[in-house]
Amino acid sequence: MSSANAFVTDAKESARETAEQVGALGLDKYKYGFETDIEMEFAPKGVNEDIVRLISSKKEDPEWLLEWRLRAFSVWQDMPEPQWQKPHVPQIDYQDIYYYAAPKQTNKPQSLDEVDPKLLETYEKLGIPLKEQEVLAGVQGAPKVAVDAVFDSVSVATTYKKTLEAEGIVFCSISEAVHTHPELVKKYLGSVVPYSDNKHACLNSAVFTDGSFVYIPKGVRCPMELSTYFRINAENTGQFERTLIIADEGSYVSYLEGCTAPQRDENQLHAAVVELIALDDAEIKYSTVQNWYPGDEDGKGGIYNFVTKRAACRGKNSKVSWTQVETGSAITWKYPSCILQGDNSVGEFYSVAITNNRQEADTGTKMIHLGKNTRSRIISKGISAGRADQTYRGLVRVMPRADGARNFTQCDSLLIGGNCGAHTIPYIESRNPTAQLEHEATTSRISEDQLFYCLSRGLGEEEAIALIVNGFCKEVMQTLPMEFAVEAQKLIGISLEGSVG
Amino acid sequence: MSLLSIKNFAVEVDEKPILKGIDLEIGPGEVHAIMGPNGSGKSTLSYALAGRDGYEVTGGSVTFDGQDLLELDADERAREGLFLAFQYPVELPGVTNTTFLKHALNAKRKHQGLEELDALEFVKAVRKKAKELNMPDDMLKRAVNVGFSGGEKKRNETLQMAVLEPRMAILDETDSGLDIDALKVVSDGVNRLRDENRSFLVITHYQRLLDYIVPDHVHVLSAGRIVKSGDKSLALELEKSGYAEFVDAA
Amino acid sequence: MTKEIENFLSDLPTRREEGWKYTDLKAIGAVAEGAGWTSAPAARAQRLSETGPLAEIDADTLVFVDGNPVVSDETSDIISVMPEGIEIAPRPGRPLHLAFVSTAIDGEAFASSPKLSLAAKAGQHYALIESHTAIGTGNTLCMPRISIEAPRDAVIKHAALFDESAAGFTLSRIDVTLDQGAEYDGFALQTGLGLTRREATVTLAGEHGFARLGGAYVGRDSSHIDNTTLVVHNAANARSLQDFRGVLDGESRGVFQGKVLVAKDAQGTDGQQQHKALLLSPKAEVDAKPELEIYADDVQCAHGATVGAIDQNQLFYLRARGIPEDHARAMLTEAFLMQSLSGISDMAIRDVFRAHLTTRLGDR
Ligand SMILES: Nc1ncnc2c1ncn2[C@@H]1O[C@H](COP(=O)(O)OP(=O)(O)OP(=O)(O)O)[C@@H](O)[C@H]1O
Ligand SMILES: [Mg+2]
Repeated sequence: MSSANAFVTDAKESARETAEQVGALGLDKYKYGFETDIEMEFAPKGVNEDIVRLISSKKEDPEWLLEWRLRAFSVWQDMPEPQWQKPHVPQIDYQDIYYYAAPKQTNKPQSLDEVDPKLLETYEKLGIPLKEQEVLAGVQGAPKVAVDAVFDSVSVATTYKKTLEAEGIVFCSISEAVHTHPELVKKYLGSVVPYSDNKHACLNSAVFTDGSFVYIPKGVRCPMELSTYFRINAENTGQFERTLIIADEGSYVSYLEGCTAPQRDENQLHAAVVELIALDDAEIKYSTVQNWYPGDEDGKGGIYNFVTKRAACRGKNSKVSWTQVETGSAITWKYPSCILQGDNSVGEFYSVAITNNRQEADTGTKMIHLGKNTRSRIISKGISAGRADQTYRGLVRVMPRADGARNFTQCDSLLIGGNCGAHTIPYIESRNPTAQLEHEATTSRISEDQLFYCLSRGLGEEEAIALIVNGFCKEVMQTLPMEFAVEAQKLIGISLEGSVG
Repeated sequence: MSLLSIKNFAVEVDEKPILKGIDLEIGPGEVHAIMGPNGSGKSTLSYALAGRDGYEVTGGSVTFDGQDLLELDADERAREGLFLAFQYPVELPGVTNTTFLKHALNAKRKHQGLEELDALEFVKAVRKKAKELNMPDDMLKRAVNVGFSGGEKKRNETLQMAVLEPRMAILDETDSGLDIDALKVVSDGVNRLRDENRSFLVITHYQRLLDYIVPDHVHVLSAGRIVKSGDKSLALELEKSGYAEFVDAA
Repeated sequence: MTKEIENFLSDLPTRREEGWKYTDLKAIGAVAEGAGWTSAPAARAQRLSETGPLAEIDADTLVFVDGNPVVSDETSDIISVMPEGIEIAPRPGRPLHLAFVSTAIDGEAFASSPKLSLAAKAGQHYALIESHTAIGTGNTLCMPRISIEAPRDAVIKHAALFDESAAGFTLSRIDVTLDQGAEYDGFALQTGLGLTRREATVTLAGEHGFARLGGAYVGRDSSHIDNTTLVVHNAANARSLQDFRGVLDGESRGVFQGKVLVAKDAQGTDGQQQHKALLLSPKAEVDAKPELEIYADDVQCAHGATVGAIDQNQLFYLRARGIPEDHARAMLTEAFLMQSLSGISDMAIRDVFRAHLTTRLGDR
């Protein structure tokens, strides 16, 4: 009884909050579904060697990068489509996609004042602060966030560059970094996710157009959150961005990623690659709130979100922590992973995934323990509603040298309604007798007791569910930076709209 | 000559110094009590004497009946007759109490060059001792400490001591969690074992226990050092005044 | 050799297939390419012999010598040998022991795929014993397939022992279908030295059915032990429980792939699954894939999997009572496995299994 009481006092407050937030968002279910009418430059549809060369020349790539892209492309052509995933991915017509779409702009803007006002307006509508004095929409008193805004294929603006430069931090688009920090890009690009890794990473390596680059020098604690905001706008366009974050010895950075896309009837492909490298004693915290257009109630349209995210904890005592809140996309297919090479390195994965209507998600993580005393922790909360189908897929592998390795995994799934599915597929592999691995998973529906308790205290059903679901996800939500936690909590409410009754 | 002789004994846990030079001489047949605030190092002393991994001896010496105790592994110390009643007894799912006791007793007998006990004889002897401690027979068939209440675990520790008949027993808060009747039963168990050769080191927070098991000497351990020693009246004094004086001193 | 084996050998599953990710059958193929697999001559079937530790349980015994059934007077009225397989009508209340004995000596390579179907009667209770033992050390490939139909309220207890030689490959399959209120309670003890894969599928086809799959295994030397289970909840309000434990020493490998599948209409399902492994050697490996696939919302499903070493606190506790380290480790290892035996309700079988486990742990 006492624990139930604590639950309600704590919960009432956040129920009101959630309800207010949901209310404030208006009736529009996907409020980011608008399209910006802006003059664009496209490369011809389809992909072939010429397109790869064209993208490379648009980006003014150095020779080595063009060669790397071409090698990736030739491997990609012979690579079969993956078959092991749970979602049935319809045959993708790779020749019906634009691989390069950029807002027309005669000169690269030198400051925000030169950025096309239509673009600024777009980001304003999305609640993304591109003016440095602003903060993320709706969050008062939040700390400053530096933003790299990627619009279709290119980065259109990066804020706070000067402030960061003073600390020796590099935060820019990757196409810029190729020119300003070629030695770093050359050394680390593809070092965590080789171009031949998988079909989608391979395509990305051949045709990636932009993305963010971060370098935190030795011993520097990044003074603000870094953030990239991805926006797919143009029709029939794939987004292939590439993010590379290097945390040098003893440094720390927290990085946020957000994404939206217009509401369209056809599916669009998003195949990103994110590589993180943490050297000795460095720590990277990477948070994602993924809200790509999920398609409509009948599953028409929506983004195919096929992303390869991987971190190498190369140095001793290094740490990488992934947090993701996945509410969007028609199909999500991603496994942010950690390769724990350095002794005593730590990998964490915190995930909330919500699928509603006809959405499908196959997501989870991989923790590969190579070094001694490496530790990993996986907390995954899945919520499936409507006719959606969701899978947690996770691998924990302990190699023979990883003496004293530890893993703890907790995977909980919640089903809302009788027409959805929730699946849990962990792979647990140990080859070291001193390692200790523990995996627990549960699947159930919202507890009738909890629901009744809330209803009997006067909450409406939808409100009660949002509240209980928020409680269910709390352990993960707590790991999000404050700026994102509020947005993410709202999203949970919205994503579940219409799932009751 | 002392049975247990501890000289300038220093111990670290996780590179943190906990015991900072302990001197203690326990003669045959003596009962010593150690009292002291939480975290002062009482359990650390008992674990280090019992030979637990991770308790790194950084200085001093300990001899047990003339031989270097620190040279011995945990199980060798036990077979030599050193017994530790744990503050937090460990659960052993799948190992019944009887099996456990039999293995422990036979390991010791083998070490002493004695024959293993006949199974029937053994069960009879254990039952008798369990009865003296008010432990029902079915508890002997259950897995060691699994599902036992706090007090039952402490009684089980006492039973093991009674069966193994050590020369030196360290009781780490064996009285905590016991109800009043159980406290008496356990103390009687200890007192039955008292003789001119067997010694005890009793760690406790409560003077009450020392009314039943009357100590020859009482020591106060604070911040890893013995800061005061005296006779049984010291325990009474502490009961009134608390540890404030010693905490400041240390 | 049966068509089934021929087909199987001509297209051996590879590790690229999801279901065979952790179990490599190359060694079976290697035998096929060498001397080659053959069927044991029927004459062998007369060599009725040793049927392992479970022989001491009083039961109707049907022996398969290198895959060939030996029908005795005792069993003739409950067995009919048909071209498509052996049909068995076990006597309710009387244990039936299916004893698979391999006699192949060095240089021989016998393959067999006995197919058995058991028909139970509604409301009746059955006890089934299955054993796989070897008296020869030659190559054997045994692919028994047992199917059991349990009609309303039938109760089937099944205890199986796999204790083959290092040259033995056992790929066994059991399929159980449970009607309303029926129960299947199975336990497999695996201690063989070769490669054992046991695929167990239980379908809960009627409401209020209950299925339990239990198991304990000891991997030693280079043995490979694979438990692949599938529990399908097709009907509402049924309950299933899976509980497996294994200890792996030497260069052995343990595999657990367990799945609970809950169909859309199977509301009120309770499905639990547990796998615990203890690794004892730096060359041993364990791979677990406990899986939940759920399409109904009113369910209580959970699984847990742990892989670990002997608990250091427990080890110290034993040593502090004078028990030498090796001995203490052995005790804790045995205790770890013994806990799973408590799921066996038949005390006589439990005792046989307990003794056998102790022996095999001692053989490590
Ligand atoms: N593994 C460890 N790592 C760090 N500190 C430890 C460890 N184990 C014990 N300590 C510390 O050593 C000190 C002594 O602990 P100990 O358990 O010996 O105290 P105690 O006197 O028995 O206390 P109590 O009366 O509460 O039982 C405490 O400060 C404790 O936190
Ligand atoms: Mg203590």
